[in-house]
Amino acid sequence: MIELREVVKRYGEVVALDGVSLKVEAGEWVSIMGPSGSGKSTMLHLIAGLDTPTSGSILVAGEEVSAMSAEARAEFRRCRVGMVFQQFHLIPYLTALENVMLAQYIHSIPDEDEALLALERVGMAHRARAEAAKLSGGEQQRVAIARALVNDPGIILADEPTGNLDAGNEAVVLELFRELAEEGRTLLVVTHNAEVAGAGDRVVRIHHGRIENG
Amino acid sequence: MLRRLVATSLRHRARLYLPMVLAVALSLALAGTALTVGESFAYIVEEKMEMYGANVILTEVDEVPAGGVAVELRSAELEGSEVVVAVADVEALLAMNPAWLVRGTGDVLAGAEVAERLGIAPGDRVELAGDERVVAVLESGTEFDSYLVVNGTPGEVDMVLLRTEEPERYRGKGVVLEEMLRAKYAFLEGVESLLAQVSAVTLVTALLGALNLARMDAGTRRREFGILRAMGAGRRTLGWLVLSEYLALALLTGAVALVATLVMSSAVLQATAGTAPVMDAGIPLMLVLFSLLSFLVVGAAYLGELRRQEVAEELRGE
Repeated sequence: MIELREVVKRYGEVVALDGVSLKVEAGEWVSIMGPSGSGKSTMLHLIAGLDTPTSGSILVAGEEVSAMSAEARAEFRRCRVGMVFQQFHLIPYLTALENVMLAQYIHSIPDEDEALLALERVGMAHRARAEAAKLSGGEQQRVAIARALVNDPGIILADEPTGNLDAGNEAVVLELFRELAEEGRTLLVVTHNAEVAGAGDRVVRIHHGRIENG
Repeated sequence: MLRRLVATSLRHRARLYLPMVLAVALSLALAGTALTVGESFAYIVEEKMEMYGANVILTEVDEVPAGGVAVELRSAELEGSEVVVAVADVEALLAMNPAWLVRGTGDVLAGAEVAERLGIAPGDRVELAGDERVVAVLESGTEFDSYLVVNGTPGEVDMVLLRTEEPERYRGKGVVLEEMLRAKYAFLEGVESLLAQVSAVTLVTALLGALNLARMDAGTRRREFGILRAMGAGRRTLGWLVLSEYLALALLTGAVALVATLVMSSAVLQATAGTAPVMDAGIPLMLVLFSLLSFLVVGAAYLGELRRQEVAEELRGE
């Protein structure tokens, strides 16, 4: 379970999150919607431990992520979380396969067969040896999802995963997310897209750093 | 995987890293060349000393056809008087000194001064070490006029004939060979000193340039490292990645510096002393160690630059 308790995040004078409290049950798919600059991505980054809140606390499966050291948060991410970004964030000069194996390397030991299986799952095995920079946007996002899945994390945090995709690729990614949810993974998906948001169990709307519905 | 990552990353950044490697390698090669020239100089002196012994007698350069003749000096008693006996290959000695005048024929050459002192004339017989020998008289105009020259193979070499382009400087002084060799090759010390100074300046310049390039590269790689950190890479993993890259660069630089050192020192020594370079294991070791040290400094600056980044900022949507 993920729990945010009165989380505040300030960047200087700017208040990105203003006392946000939220509970996400294990295995639940929660979509987070809101206008640009409303604090959606900040919330996701705080849950992932990429940043720390100014005040309040964030707990994941009973562990207070917000109180962890930077190294402990890194360990938390590599063992518990898979992240998917709007800009895909692949290493452009590595192949699709190497990008997936990189996640394995950071987690433990690279296994080419397992990495190929992860790519096969997202329909990208045939492009495994292609350089990431030469893949289309949809292909890159599918590789990014394979990378997020290869270490079998319980939590998937996705920040506008379909934001840069055409309708066809959006449907492919959405279908993959449905499969992940069916496997019992917890999904937090930040999106502007009503169709993507509607695919989840629950939609949380955020505005000016505050949750409008809980 | 680390090797694969490092190799791919280096290939990807070849255009950036190549000038860095070449600049540091060139400056190290200059230092290596300075050391090699110095070592070769020491070797030349040592080798000649071993070959010829400690003392020299010098003749006009055109009087000596090639190389030198080893001469052993001993003391002996002749006709109740003490003389210096020079043991040498007399035929070679005379061939190398065609200006020397020998009056008469004999088994022993008595220098003109000795002959006069002892009243010896060409064709006289003298008893030397129990053997009676016929004497010829030698007029050389050199120290040999005060010796009794005996044909034979020298054992422990005391003196040697050498060619020189400055005979006046050394004539008749029994100059110590090392001193003469050092004078002859003194310019190599100058070359060594010049190279050492140039290498110090270029190494500092190259390191500053490398630091600057590393900072630039760190700037362009911030997102890449942000991605790795988002995937859960800790500081140790990132540190290993950077250090592995810089270790590979250091080894490559060391290898390039070694090859450049061999080429440059060969060129310098062939052009100036007509000899091949002499290099012991210390110089390659020094090149690799300095290369490692240089890239450790650059790598540490690189890591410092990356550590200042805020991961969440790097990954924020554009």
